[in-house]
Amino acid sequence: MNKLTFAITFFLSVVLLLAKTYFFFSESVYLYSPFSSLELIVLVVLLIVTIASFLRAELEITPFVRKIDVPSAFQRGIMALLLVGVGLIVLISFLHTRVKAALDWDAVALYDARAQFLQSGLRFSEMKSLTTYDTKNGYYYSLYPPFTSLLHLAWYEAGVPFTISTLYSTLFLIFAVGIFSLFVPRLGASWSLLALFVLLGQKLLFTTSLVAYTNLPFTLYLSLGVLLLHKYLHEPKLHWLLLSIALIAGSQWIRALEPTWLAILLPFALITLKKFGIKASITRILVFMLICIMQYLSWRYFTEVISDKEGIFRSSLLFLLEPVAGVFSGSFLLIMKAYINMWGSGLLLYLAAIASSLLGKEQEEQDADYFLGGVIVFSFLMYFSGLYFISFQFDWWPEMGGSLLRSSTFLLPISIYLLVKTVKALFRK
Amino acid sequence: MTPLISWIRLLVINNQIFFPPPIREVLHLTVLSSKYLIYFYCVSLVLFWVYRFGNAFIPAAQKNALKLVTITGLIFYLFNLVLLKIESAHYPNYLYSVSGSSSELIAFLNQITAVTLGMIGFIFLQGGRFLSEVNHDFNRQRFARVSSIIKVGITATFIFAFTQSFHPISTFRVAQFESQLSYDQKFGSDFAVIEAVREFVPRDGFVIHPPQSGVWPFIGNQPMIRYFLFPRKLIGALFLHKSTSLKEFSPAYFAQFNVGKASGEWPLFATNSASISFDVQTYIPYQQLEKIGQTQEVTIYKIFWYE
Repeated sequence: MNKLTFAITFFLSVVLLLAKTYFFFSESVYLYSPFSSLELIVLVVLLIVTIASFLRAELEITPFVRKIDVPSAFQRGIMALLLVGVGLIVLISFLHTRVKAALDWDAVALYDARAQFLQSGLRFSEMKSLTTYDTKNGYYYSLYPPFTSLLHLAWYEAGVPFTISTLYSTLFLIFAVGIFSLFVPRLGASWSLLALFVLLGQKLLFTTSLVAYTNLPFTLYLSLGVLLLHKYLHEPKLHWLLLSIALIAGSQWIRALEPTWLAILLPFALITLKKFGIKASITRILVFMLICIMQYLSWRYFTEVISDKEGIFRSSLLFLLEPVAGVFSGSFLLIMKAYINMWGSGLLLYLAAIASSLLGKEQEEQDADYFLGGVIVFSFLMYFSGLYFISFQFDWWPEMGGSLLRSSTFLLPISIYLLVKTVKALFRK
Repeated sequence: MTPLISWIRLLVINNQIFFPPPIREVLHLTVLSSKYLIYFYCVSLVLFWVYRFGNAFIPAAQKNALKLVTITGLIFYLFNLVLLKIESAHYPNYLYSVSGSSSELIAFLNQITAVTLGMIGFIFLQGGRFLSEVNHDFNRQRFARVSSIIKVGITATFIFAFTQSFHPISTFRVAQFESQLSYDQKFGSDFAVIEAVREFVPRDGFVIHPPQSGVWPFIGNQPMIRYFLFPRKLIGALFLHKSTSLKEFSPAYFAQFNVGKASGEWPLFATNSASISFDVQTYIPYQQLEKIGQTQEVTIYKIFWYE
C-alpha cells in the first residue's frame, strides 16, 4: 500500500510542478524574478530527495514479518458490498459529468474562462486588461491561483474527447484511491472501505466532483497532504514529510484565500516538538514553514507586482480595531451564531472527530490523532477569524457560508477517519 | 403523535379567531424548535441506557423493551417512507396541504429513527457491555463511563454520517436532470441576448452591457458574459456613463431586450432627443443609431458617439 500512496502523491506533485513550469515559462517577466526561480528549484530538489528517500526505504531489509489477517467469508462479503458501494458512487459522478452540457457559475466566469483565454494566446498577466471597462471586477482574474485553469487548458490541448467536468470525476477517483491507500494501514481493508463509502457519499464532498471549481483539487491536495503528515508521525520517513509539504504548500497554488497551510503547520509543529524533541523537529518545521511562505509570497508577488491586482481586503488601524471592539459590543456573539449556523449538521461530525482524537490509548497513535484533531480545531479558528474580520468590511459576509463549507471539505476525510477508528475500537471489544 | 400534532397545527394555522398572531408566533417557534428537542431527547435516552447498563448485561425486560422500540421504529420508518413517496408522486407540500405534516420534518424524524435503530443494533451487538474492564477505582470507573458515553455519541454521529452517504444514490435522477441542462435553461431568457450578440456583433467589436445588479445578475456580470462573447471587448454601463470621452468606443454595439416588460427593459431611449440611458439614470447623446439584427426577443444596435 506504501507504493500506491507514494505513486499517487508523487504523481500529484509532478502535475503541480509541470503546471508551475508551464506558468513560469509563459510569464517571462515572472520567470526571471528570484521568487519563481527559487520556487521551481526547491520543488525539483524536493521531489528528487523524495524519490531517493523512498527508494532507500524500499530497499531496506525489514526484520519483522507482518502478520496478515485472513478475512472470513462474512468479512469478504461485507468488503465486496462496500467495494460495490464505493464504485457506484464514483460511477454516478462519472455518469453526471459525462453528460454535463453547461458549466456552473464560477467555472464560466473564472476557471474555464481563463483556460479559454490562455488557449487564445492571452497570458495570465494580461488578463487584467480584459476588465479595463468594468467598474466592479478589476481584480477578478487574479482572485484565484491558476492551477485549476491550467488543468482545463491541458485537458483541451490534449484533445480529451470528454467534457471538462469529467476531469473532476477523474480527480474524485484519484481522491478515493489515495484516501483508501492511506486509511488501510491504520484501519484495515474492510473498515477503510466503510470509511471511504461514508466519505464519498457526503453531499458536500460528492457535489464538488460535479462542478468545475477549485474545491475538489484543493481538497485532494490538502487531505492527502494532511493524512501523509499523519502517516509520517507513525512512520517518520523523510519522503512522507517532503511529499506532504509539496502537496500542502502547493495547495496555495489552487486556492489562496485562507492560510490553510498555517492551520496544518501549527498543530504539526506542536506535535513534532512533543514527539521528537526540539533538536530533531526544528529543521522539519522550518523547512515546512519556509516552503509554504515561499509559495505564498510567490503568488502574492505575481498578483500584486506583475498582474497589478488591486487588493479587495482593506487593511488599516481602524479596520483592525473595529473587530477588537466588536468582542465587547456583542458583534462577536452575532458572528459566532451565524458561524455555527453555517456549518449546520456538519459541526456535529467535526466535534465528534475532535472528541475521537482525544480518546486514543497508545501514545504513538495518540500523538498522530492529536495532530488530526488539532488540524480541525485550528481550521475552525482560522475560518472564524477570517469571517469575523470580513464581517466588518463587507455587508455580503453572510454569503460566505457556502464558500466556507466547500473549501473546508478537506476536513471530512480526517474526521471520518477519526470516527471510524473509534467505532472500530468499540467493535473489537 | 406526529400526525396528531400536525393536524392540530393545521387547525391553528387556519383558525385566526381563536389563535391570533402572537399566539401563532409562539406555536410556530415551538414547532421549529421541537425537532431539535426530539433529537436531543432520543439521543439522551440512548446515552442513559449506556450509563445505566454500562459493564452489565441488559436484563431481559429491558431487552424486550429495546426489541419493541426496534419493531415500532422500523414500522414508523417504513410508514414515513410511504408518506414521502406519496408527496413525490403529487406535488411539493402535498402532505402539508392535506394533513399539515411537513415532508422536511418527516424526513428528519426518519433520520433520527435510523440513528436510534443503529444505536440499538449496536447495543445488542455489544451484548450490553461498554466498559473495557471492571475497575474498582471509583474515579477511573467514572472516567471510563464518561469515556464510554462519548464513544457512544461518536458512534451515533458516525451512523448519522452513514445515513447521509446515500445522497448520490437517492438524488441520482434530479442530479442527472440538472447535469443535462443547457446554458439557456440555466441562465433563462437572458441567454437569448448572448446568442443574439454572438450572431450579429463582430468579434473585434465593443459591446455595452447592463450594470451588474439584482435586475440583471447574469447579463450585467461582465466576467460571466465574457466567457461567451470573448474576444469582443465588453464595456459596463456604469463605466460608459462615467467616461469623459466616448470616442474610443465608437462604434459600439448593444442589445435591446425586455421591451415593454414591467421591469428589466434595457436600455432606455429618450423620447424627445437622440440620447440613451444604459445605467437607467442618466442619458448620453449619440450621433447615430443603426439596427443591425433582430431575433424574437432581442434587437442588436450599432451606436456612434459624437467626436
